[in-house]
Amino acid sequence: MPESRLDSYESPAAYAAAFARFLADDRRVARFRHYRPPDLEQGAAHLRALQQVLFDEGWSRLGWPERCGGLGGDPKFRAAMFETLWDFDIVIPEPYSTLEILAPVMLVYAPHLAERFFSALLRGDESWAQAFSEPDAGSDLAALRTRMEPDGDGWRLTGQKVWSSYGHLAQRSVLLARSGGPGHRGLTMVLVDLDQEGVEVRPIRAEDGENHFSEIFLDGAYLPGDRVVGELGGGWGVAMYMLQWERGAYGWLQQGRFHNRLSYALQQSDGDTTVYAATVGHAYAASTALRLQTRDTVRRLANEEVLGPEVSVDKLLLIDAETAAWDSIRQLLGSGFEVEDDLAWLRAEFLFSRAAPIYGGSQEIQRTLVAQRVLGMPREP
Amino acid sequence: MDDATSQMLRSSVGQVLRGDGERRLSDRLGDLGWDEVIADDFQGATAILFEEKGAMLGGGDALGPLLTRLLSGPLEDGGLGSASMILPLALHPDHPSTVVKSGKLDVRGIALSCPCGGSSVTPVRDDRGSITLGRIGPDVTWECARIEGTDPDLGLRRVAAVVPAAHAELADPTVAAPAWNAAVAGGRWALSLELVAIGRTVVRDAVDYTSVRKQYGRPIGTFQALQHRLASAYASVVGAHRVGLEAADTGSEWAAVVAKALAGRAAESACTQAQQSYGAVGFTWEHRFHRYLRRTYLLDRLLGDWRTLESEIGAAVMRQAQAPRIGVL
Repeated sequence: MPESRLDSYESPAAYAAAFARFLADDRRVARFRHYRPPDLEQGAAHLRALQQVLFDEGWSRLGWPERCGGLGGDPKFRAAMFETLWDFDIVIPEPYSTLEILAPVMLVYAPHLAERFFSALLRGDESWAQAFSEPDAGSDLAALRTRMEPDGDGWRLTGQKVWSSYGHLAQRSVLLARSGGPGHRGLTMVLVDLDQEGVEVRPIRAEDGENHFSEIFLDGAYLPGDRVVGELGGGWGVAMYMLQWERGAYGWLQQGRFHNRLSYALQQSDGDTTVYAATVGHAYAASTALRLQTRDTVRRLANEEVLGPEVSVDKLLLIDAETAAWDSIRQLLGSGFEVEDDLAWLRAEFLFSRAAPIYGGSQEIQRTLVAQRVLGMPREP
Repeated sequence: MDDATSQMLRSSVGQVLRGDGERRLSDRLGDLGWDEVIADDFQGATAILFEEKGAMLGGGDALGPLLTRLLSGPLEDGGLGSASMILPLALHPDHPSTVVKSGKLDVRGIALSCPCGGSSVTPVRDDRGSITLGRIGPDVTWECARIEGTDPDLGLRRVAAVVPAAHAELADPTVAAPAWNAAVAGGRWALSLELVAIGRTVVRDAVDYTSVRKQYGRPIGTFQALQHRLASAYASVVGAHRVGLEAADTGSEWAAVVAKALAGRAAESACTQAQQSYGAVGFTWEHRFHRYLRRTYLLDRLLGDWRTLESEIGAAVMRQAQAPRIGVL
């Protein structure tokens, strides 16, 4: 797509219409439609080719700033791209959701790194993983212990990270480490290379049989001095900034999946309307609430508004919708859901949905945030 | 309307809702120049009226005038605006309890305001089984009994009359059925906003209470169990609000059903969690909580309760074999 056509898209809807024509016509795209990954690794490899096509044709570059390799324009173009991909039953490559979470943070806190790496990420030439949690620092993130110590112009990292999504497929990691004293004031966000000595990444097989996340062992791994994201000791603020994208923009991505998968189950189902209607209706309504709540969040983020703790509401609605949608999908498909071997891909997605109240800040953490910081209830003594 | 206008309107509507309960709400709104306000921004003004009514537990009938106003256009009946709205006994719009019998209209239903001495309008199951609308003139003797019910403050009435053809007019079903569906959609999003306002209010009141009420030497609002109840209810209310606003903006009948289902469920959940937070005092007559609870139950029934609507939504998407997305980016 020539860049001069950029300004012909006046709205996300106009962009979506043009993108839909591209997806319908372009031969390279056909093999991504209705694609069901046999496993996570093959899926990632297959979809990397889609990332290349969408980058080279410019579609995925719209909505990202020009200074980092995007083509500029309204960030809502990105949300429109995801929506249109689902329309064609094309699964969203995982690195896109990672980008939605990590890239805005890099643009604000480490523009030099965004400029250097962004294009490779967007094109799928490399991928990054988030590394926050540790064996003894899950919900209590500020208790993390991975040390960051000065070494010449750079730093050395030592410690252990866990639950790093897609960590074993990533070349780099956005990682939260301790550069100072205890508590959240001593934390720093960094971008560390994973393909170096002193780093070992071990995938963890999740309950669906897939390697969703990894452990990352750091034993004096080197961090160049220019790889600090934000201020030294300012890691907590960077992480909090990131969470508004993780809780908001990610929800928009996911509601597209629920609508798509629910439609699939509805097409396959010969279930009794009178038995399943209530379950399906609840799931549909919950997905709609998530969709419209996160649409508002996407709009506000596009306007560069800084969202407060209210964004935890998005995550709570995501948990409700994800749980309800997959419960109803399983119901709709009856015993086939449990016994049909060609539904393995759907079962894997279902099983992963059980993580909804845990990943990205547990349901309990979100409820506490909403109670104390949105509703203003008193903190525990 | 801009923020300043909206604030002014909110405060004027609040005064009207606090005012003389003996006069009809529509007459009191008339003093405010409601027709011009509505002409200026129908969605915005209607939203403010129902939200304020919910938050303040305002009495009187706002739904009836909204439905008759929405029916006036399609039915080309300018006088409909002052008619009393009679809902089916089931309070569900698709199940009329008024039928045509031996050429007469056998009206049974629940009137949102007293029909005596004025004209009224109600959905009718005609002798072919279609849903249409019946317009009933003022010269009818009604059996009309005030309903105490779950929420006496709403002033509902159980009404019945056998109306001869001379005093009743049946609309053409091909016009009336879509007009009724569109009006119901308007009523549903308005009610969803009223329920959302109740949900927000009961959660806020419970937060205030739990922040001062102490047990074990500390405010009970510091206990995670109560924090999580109220946070969970609040999130549902916010989600329902989004869909209610979308239904209001677009006038989509489908969005309105979903909005009403979400709002009914969210408001009920808010009441349940708030009531638990209040402990025993929330069960007293003196505490105003039970008035919100009663109002929630009743509003939920109007134009379809959330459990019924969720089932209808589910049955509809199963028939279509797809889950359509509501709202464009």
